[in-house]
Amino acid sequence: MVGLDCQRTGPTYNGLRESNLFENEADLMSRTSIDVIVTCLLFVSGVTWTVYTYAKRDRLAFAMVAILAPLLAVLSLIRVAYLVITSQVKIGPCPDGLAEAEVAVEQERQRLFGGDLRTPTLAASWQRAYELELQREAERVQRIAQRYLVHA
Amino acid sequence: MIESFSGFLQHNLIVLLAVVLVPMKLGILRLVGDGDAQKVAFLSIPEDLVYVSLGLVLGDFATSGGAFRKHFATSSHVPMDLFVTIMIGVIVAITIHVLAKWANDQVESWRAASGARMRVMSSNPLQGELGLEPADSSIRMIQVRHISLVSILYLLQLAVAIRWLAWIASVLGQRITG
Repeated sequence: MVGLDCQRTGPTYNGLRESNLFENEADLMSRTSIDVIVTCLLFVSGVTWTVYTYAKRDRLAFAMVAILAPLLAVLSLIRVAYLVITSQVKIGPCPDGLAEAEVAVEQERQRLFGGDLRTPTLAASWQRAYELELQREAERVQRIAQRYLVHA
Repeated sequence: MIESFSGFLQHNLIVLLAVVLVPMKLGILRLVGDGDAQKVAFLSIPEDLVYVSLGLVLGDFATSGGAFRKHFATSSHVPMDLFVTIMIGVIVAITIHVLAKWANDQVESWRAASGARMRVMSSNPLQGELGLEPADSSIRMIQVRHISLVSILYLLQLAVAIRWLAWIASVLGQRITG
């Protein structure tokens, strides 16, 4: 009787039938895949619509940038983490005219949408980071030079 | 079989609501002729979804044999669980609203950069040949920065809203399958 019952219900795991477990897993996977597809569909439509609505030039380029930005951000974070771990981080100089361009953009934003004039931070932060990098490099060179001078 | 299929369908219908909502919203805005609202229709979709999800939760609480009461039936403190569910819904709504505000700020800055770039290029027809490339590339860099931030913030909003909606859909789906 017991054997018959086992044949009918199949093996159990934590009170759940094995076939039920597989059904639940398949169900969960299909639901998750639908959630991911819906998110991706809305994301691509949303950013493309926004770019095509507002951009006056380089629409395709900006749409591609917007679609790929999250992926690139993740890859960049991984790369930065790798560079930090291997002490290979190099910060280049701030491009000429970036601070002026930021001020011009901020003034244009205030002209178009109102509100307070905000202080741009990108160029200043970049410049500060570059100066710190130079300072660290100079200290390193100084340390090496002192070591060799002492030995000489 | 039929019950689990209908539960699966209900879950997906609620999540696919997001996709159905977009053409409906665009159609209604087109019908009304509100061009400005039409432009930001997509950007406000996560906020719409989060309010829809709050409506679903509150609508379910209004019924005595609701799916959430059934979901928390084994708990020894059901009212507390229901209260926490509402609070999480409110926190999700606040989070998405804050993210949407940041995203809108970035959209404004990106549009301003576009405007500034157009003005630089169009103020003098000869400027393109007067070595103004650095200024243009700087503004382009600012544009790329703002549009990338818009994109990341928008994806975050969507991910949070749809994940929350999917959980609510799974609870509501249990009413049929359970």
